[in-house]
Amino acid sequence: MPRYIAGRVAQLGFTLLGVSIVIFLLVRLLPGDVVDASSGDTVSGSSDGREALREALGLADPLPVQYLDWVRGLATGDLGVSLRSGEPLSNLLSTALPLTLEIVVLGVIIAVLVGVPLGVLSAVRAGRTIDYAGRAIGMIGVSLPSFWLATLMLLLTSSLFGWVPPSTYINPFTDPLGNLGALILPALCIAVYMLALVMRMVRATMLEVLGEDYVRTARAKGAPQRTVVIRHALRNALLPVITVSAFEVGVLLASTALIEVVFGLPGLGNLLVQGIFNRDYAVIQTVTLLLATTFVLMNLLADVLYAVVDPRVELR
Amino acid sequence: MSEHTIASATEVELSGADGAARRRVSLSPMLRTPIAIAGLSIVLLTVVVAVLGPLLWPPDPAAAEATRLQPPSWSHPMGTDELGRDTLARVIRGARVSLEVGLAAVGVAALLGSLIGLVAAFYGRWVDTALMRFVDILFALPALVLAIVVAGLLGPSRTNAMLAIGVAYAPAFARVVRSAALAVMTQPYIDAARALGSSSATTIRSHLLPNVTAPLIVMASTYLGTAILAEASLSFLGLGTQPPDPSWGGMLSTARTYMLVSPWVAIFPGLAIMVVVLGVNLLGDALRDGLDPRLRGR
Amino acid sequence: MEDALLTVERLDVSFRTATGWTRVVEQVDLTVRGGETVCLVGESGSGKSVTALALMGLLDPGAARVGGSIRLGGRDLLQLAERDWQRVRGNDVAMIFQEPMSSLNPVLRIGDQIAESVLLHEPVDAKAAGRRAVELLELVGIPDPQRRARDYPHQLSGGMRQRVMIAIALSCSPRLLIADEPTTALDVTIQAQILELIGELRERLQMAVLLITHDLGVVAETADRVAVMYAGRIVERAEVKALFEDPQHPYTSSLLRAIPLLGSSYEEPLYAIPGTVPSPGRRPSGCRFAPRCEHAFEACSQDPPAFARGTHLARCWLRDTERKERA
Repeated sequence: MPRYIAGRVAQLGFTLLGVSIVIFLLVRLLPGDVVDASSGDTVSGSSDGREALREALGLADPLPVQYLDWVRGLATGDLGVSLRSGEPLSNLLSTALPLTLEIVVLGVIIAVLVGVPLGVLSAVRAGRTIDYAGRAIGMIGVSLPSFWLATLMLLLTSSLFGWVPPSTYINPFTDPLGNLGALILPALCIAVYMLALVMRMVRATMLEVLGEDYVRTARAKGAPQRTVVIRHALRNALLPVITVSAFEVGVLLASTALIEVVFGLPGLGNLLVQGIFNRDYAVIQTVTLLLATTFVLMNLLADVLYAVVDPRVELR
Repeated sequence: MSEHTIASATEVELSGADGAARRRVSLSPMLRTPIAIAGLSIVLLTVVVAVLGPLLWPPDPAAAEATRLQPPSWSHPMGTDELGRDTLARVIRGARVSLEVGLAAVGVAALLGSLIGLVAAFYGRWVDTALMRFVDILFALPALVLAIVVAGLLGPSRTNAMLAIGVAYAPAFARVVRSAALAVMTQPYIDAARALGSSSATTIRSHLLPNVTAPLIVMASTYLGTAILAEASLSFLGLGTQPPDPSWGGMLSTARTYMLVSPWVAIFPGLAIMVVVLGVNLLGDALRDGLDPRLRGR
Repeated sequence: MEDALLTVERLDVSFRTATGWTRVVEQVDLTVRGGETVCLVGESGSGKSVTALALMGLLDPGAARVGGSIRLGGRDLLQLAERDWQRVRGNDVAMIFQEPMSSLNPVLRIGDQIAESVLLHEPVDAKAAGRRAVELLELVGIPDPQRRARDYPHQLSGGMRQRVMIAIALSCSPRLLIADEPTTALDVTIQAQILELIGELRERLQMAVLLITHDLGVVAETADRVAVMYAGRIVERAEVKALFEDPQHPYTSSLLRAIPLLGSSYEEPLYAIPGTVPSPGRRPSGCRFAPRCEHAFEACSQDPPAFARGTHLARCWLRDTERKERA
């Protein structure tokens, strides 16, 4: 297992290296830069001033030099500064990264805790009322724009309770309840899509697994329905769900960006959107790379989890 | 991102590569289930509304002629917005934007994806390896994140949003098309065609392409809903359709400022997105069940 | 029928289909006495396996309807609530299946799968159940049972897995073991071993065995009594000796003729019964076997009752002694 993980991590390294090149080129080759975006500001009035500014920001260097500077910085822990504000990226990321990760992790937890039982119930009671209700949730959930849901939730809490969640990051270790209060609504909003997806998948795999011979064996032992469903069917039904849901974390990460904008939370997504409007290359490329890294690590985690649950998979 | 992860992740949408492509499937029986009928009705209704828009509801979506932020009434069933424009007229106009951008983006994704997938499958060896490595790298970026970055860098506009979404979802199409085409590549008639002197382009066009249409249709229908949602997301962030052009995402974005005073501005455009995406998804599910029986019930 | 353990009377099973209910098993009567081996024989599609599943109460009540009575030691199982039936399954009656490859749960250790059955029916703790699982593995002839108990199903061969299935079935010393084609999916050499094991354990544990098979060779080796099934009905029932020496139903005779005999010459082609078993819902009225029967005559358009000669029963108009007298 450790050898397998080491191998996978190395492979991830290469993938992320590729990602960094793609992002870097994307950011440089498309028209416009931070200097254009902030034209109208004092320094950049004249074209001479603009060139000087580009020079100062390192934007005039040849592309390979710029790329190597960036990657070297990442490797040594020097993330550089925001080209727009001059603030060190490490400052910005020290709140943005934990904030976004927390929303995503909370979202996944909600999705699994609600989606799995709903899917099981739907499969076991296939064709009954609860199944139709479950399937309706599954269908609507994947069609619901998360940012609209977030908007509606804000509307609801502010008009009913005169309360909106705080738009700052509250440290979960000093004020766990305050932290949860601020993040539970955003997490709920991004969870809905994955919840619906998990529900649909669990229902489908469960229906398949319930027809398996080993489920009949469990019944033949005299096991009660509960045991048959949970101990024998569910574990097998969850296997394919693990991998597919890990892939859907990508959707979660992207919708987090939108949700952060709605709730005004200073997370990675908000940072990225600001960076895009400012053409702040340093912010865009580093944040995008971080999002990709998170995504890829989640998938690695899912693969390891899969191997832990399924004894037939040998990690080598 | 291992092969294994991606294979199983995309399997749900794709498959059908080998078997399904060959069967001539009649579409009518699969469209007869209640779910398919619901989906089809919603989609047809949306298309009719998008095409006939002004004939059905004459007010000008761009004209600020009424009192601002009116609640829903007989003359303005969805109320008016912050500039006094009729929300219903804007929602109707937005349907056209959503469908246009959604369809065009899926078209771009299908085109780019097919090109990459077919070339990779046909030439094999290092061409295949190189292209698929590239696709793997793109897969490490969540698609909507990629779309946001590309749309943002190209500059906010409807066309750019469409291109960005198309590019972001192209890798998924490339994978599916490649695996469908690979299944055909082993068939003897490909060798026969080549032996008879058929050119590469001709072989791809007349032998590979027809065999990847079924999975392509399934993919396109699955991703249409996603693309519509992506367009709404980009417009919501201000990276898609630009005001004063109405788009559902954009309307929701402005609505956030005024929603405490007039909640309806934040409700109707979102409802429209949800209903249309729901319809497209229902129809897509029905198509997928019909074209790929192995996925039935998923 | 003194000391009958299992008495099945007029068992009917129907399945829900698109057009309504289709009868798959009709009016099956069957008895199994304590300690004996009864074989249920027939081609695939004759309803043997459905009968077995009905006896275990394993048919989905939403999709299948079961009528008649199944009495085990005086209790009618069909009247039991699901909860009470759970106490019978795996405890009084146990079952092994045709597919050892897919009948074990792939994500659970085999020791745990055996122990589960013990825990369900006996007042023991997990540790004791684990020890019992190892003993059972030893009983069914698995070498190094201590270590094997920690294996997962995919680490075992087909024959080994069937032994594990037998261990699960025997875990609570059932009075009746239902074995549905337990050797069909296995290699020939393994088949004999498994049958031998079942026979040996039957004697040791004094349980009755209802063996379902399509293989008359297996019947000859193991059975005390035999019931032949065709198209959902039992067409002949007899002591094993009587059946082989003096088959009363043309279907049984055809089955016997279709067995390749050791030493028979290769020049003679092997006999095959013409046609196939009609699917449920397409069964002919009258005698079900008539369309494939070389002795069919006008009476066969009527459904034949079971004609008895001592304990030998056959559902065939040829055995109607009164008709012969009339003629």
